[in-house]
Amino acid sequence: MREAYYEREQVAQRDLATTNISPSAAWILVGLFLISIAVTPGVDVTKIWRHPAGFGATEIKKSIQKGEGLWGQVLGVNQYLADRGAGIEEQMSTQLWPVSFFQPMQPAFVRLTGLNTRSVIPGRDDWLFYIPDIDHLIGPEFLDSSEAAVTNVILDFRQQLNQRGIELFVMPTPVKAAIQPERLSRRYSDGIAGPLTNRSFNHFLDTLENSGVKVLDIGPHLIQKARSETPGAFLKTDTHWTQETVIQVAQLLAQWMDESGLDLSLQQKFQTEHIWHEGLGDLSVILSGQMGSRWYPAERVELRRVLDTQRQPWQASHAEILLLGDSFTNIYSMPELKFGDAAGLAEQLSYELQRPLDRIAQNNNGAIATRRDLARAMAQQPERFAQTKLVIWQFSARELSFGNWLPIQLPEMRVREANGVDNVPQLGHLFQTAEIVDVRIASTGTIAAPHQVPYPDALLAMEGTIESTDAGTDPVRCVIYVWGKRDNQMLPAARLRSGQRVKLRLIKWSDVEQQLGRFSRAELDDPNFELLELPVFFGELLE
Amino acid sequence: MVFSSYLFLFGFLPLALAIYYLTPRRAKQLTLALLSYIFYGWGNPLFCLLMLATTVVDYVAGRCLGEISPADSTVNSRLNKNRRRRLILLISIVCNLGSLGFFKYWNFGIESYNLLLGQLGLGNYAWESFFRVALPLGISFYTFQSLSYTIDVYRGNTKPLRSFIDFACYVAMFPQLVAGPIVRFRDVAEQLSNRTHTFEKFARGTAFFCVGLGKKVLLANPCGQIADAAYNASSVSAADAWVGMFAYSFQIYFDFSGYSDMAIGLGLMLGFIFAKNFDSPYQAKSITEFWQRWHISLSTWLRDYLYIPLGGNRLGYLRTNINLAIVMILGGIWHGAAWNFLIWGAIQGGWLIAERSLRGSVSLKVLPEWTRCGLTFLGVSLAFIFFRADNLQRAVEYIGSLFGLGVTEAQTGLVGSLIWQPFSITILVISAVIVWFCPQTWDWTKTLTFPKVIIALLLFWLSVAMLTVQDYNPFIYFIF
Repeated sequence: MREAYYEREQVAQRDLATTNISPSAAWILVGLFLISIAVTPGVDVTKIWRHPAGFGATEIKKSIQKGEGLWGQVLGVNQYLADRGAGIEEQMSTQLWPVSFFQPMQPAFVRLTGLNTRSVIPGRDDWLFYIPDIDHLIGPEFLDSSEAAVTNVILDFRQQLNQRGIELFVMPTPVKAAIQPERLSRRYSDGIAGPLTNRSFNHFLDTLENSGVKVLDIGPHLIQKARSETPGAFLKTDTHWTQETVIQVAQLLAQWMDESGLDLSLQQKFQTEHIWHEGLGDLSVILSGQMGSRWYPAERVELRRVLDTQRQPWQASHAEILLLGDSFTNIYSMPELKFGDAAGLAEQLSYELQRPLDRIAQNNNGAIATRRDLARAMAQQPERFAQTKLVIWQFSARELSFGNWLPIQLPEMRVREANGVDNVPQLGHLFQTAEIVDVRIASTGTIAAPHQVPYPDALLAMEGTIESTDAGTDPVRCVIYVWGKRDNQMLPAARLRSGQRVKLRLIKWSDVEQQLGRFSRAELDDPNFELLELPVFFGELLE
Repeated sequence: MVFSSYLFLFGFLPLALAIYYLTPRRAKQLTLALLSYIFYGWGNPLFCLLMLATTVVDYVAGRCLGEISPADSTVNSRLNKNRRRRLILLISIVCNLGSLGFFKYWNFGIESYNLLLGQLGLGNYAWESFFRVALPLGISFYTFQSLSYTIDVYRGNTKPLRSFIDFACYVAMFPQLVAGPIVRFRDVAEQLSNRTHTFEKFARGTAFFCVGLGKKVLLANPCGQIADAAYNASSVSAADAWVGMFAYSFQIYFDFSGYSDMAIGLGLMLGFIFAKNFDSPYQAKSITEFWQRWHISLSTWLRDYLYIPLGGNRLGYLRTNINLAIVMILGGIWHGAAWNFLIWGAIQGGWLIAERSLRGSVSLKVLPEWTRCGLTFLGVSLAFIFFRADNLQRAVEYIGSLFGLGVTEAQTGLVGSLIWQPFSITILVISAVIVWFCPQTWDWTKTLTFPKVIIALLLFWLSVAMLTVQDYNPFIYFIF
């Protein structure tokens, strides 16, 4: 036995010690290989080691000082080094020249070979699909994996709203592959009897309906639309529905609300205009970037824009109806989603009802993002919800499998209203305009890597302490949103880590919420929602 | 740090090679040890302390064993010395297996205990609040490596090392640190102090590395996506289940043998020669032969340090089979702390025992070679279901799906849409051709002609290009 073992080592010595290769071939192989691996860091070295991703002795010293006891200090340094390492790795995987060189070839790869990327899979006739959508449909039962957290959270949310005199309608929105699978695979060429769903979906609907929650299952309606019209219910190269589908869903919702016998009194006149708009689908952007590519060109859509009586684009306002939604609500409404404005779900519903409508919408994370924003808004602007009678909660069905279904405690807004609440109690007098401050970061969210999710822009949430202002106030804990990703490019703020001290220009969040509130946000890990009542700012990173 | 990452390819590797070759000869071990610690500690520096502790324990054990030589002693004193040597070996084994057991099997133990209590209706006594530990990368590999040193010194198969730096370099050597092959001390003892760095070796190493990277990125990753689609689905059709099963067999082979090729290549670049770890295992015509060709460094390790000490095949039919079962089950649980791996090991043991038992009565050799090869591949692939499935229940369901016993629903067809892409099918066909009809890297690189040089470089750049398109990049063996 041992001889055989040694024989194996001897074979290795014999076989590997000598190689039949000519000197010139060896030179070419080794030379080109070394040039390949050495030139890249040589070219991009400044990008890789640029602050704040590099290692700094001062920062290490600070992380030592921060820890309690020897073990705490060791853990602090360990965390610091691991974070920095991850930062450099992330920097390299997005900024090196091979990435920018090969990235534009991605759509051609996908189109010509049928290759799928991590998040996009090509369908038939140049349709594109989002893989997490498919994973939700074919994956494990979502009620199994989360131990029914989904239903419990929805029931709890409904109960909290009811206690405040507000009704809840829930509208899980089917994903593209659920409604138009024939565009993905020939297996569905003969059509489908009903929308494709995750195994748990029907049980989920039954549970909610048996508990008295009003759920609008729009899937069957969308199937009819997909069958009867061209191109169908969803955009070809985007994860979202077509404008016609949005209008149809708004009509369904309006009809449903009529039948529900809600006592709504506020009215407002709206009118419409029809325009053509050309936009690049979000899945096409994942593959090709903002410029698009000839492989997956822009799509042309006819928008029904909703205008007020002054022919100004529709605006959300304090109203009896509040729509909570994700990017399905934002598309055709938020210009950054590439398909125009004033024609989204809130606008169309408002038009169908001829009533004003309030809206809290945020791209991505529909399971938690809008509930969190609602809780924050209730804490900080309770008067906004004084007339609210109905909340319509729209979220992508994908969230049922992958969303964050933590329960959130809504604040007692009427008590707060009586006491009066300042948005920024400690610094109210300072932040009438933008203010430059030094902030010590306590924690940050994590931005999804570029070209992985259908949202090219993202705000990064940071919890920190304002250490100094020009006016020399006391330190104040707060939450700050900064741009972490724009046009699928990571910004320096995305690499900020806890313990760092940065200079920021701060603006009250409420002043910019109208423009920025609907972008995808990388939120803080805050399972107990302890940060909801902190003052909130938008920050621009200065250094 | 993953070999197939930009960080390694364009950051660590060029820097490490530059520093290593600029270092004077006498300091090369120290340089390599330090570079290896940086490599290992990149994701979690704290784990370096654990590896260092293992290194110190085994180094000291080796030195002590070397000091207590039973030769030239009286009988009494020899008995006494043997007792002390056994004690030292025991300490080393307990420390190594203790840390491996704690870091790798603690969570599994707690979860199994809680599950058992739950089944018995004693859920209130479950240890839910007990702490959980994070698994340090490559602990299974470097523990076995380090342990083999002490055992070999104890057995007198090798002399203890004087230099701690040399030993630290041996344990931590980054090419094979986190996913093997398991390099035994006696294989590299000579090379640690006296190895040659030739241009020819470097060129061969480069070719090995490029081919290994290509295997990983161009074949294993796409096969992995096919396998994931099938295994992660709640229901899967029979045809898709078969494709998914074979895709996983290809994935794990190209993933692990690709990593081994890269490790051997990097070793050559640094002047080391490591033995072959894969020898076209899917060309094996029996399970016994498969295990002589698959992860050879592990199977020989288990043979020399477990199977033979248990008595091997010297103690009769029954005891041989028991030994085989023990070795394969422990080999299974070495891969991962879960019942799936244990069952996978048991199945492999079962195959081996069945083969040994049938050897005298029924000869499979009457079958054509390709049939035996196909049957072996089928047997191995079926067993891999337990290796890949998330849990035991899922593995059983998956096997049911293979034979049309699974529940298929309207959405089941979507699994096929992920699997039956032109690119995926092309990759599966290429994988099959390479597995059964192409020479292995070891032989392919023996003679490096100009066209082969161009192919190696093309594989490197194609892999880099592919990394920008697909970032599906985990090495399966990283978690073991």
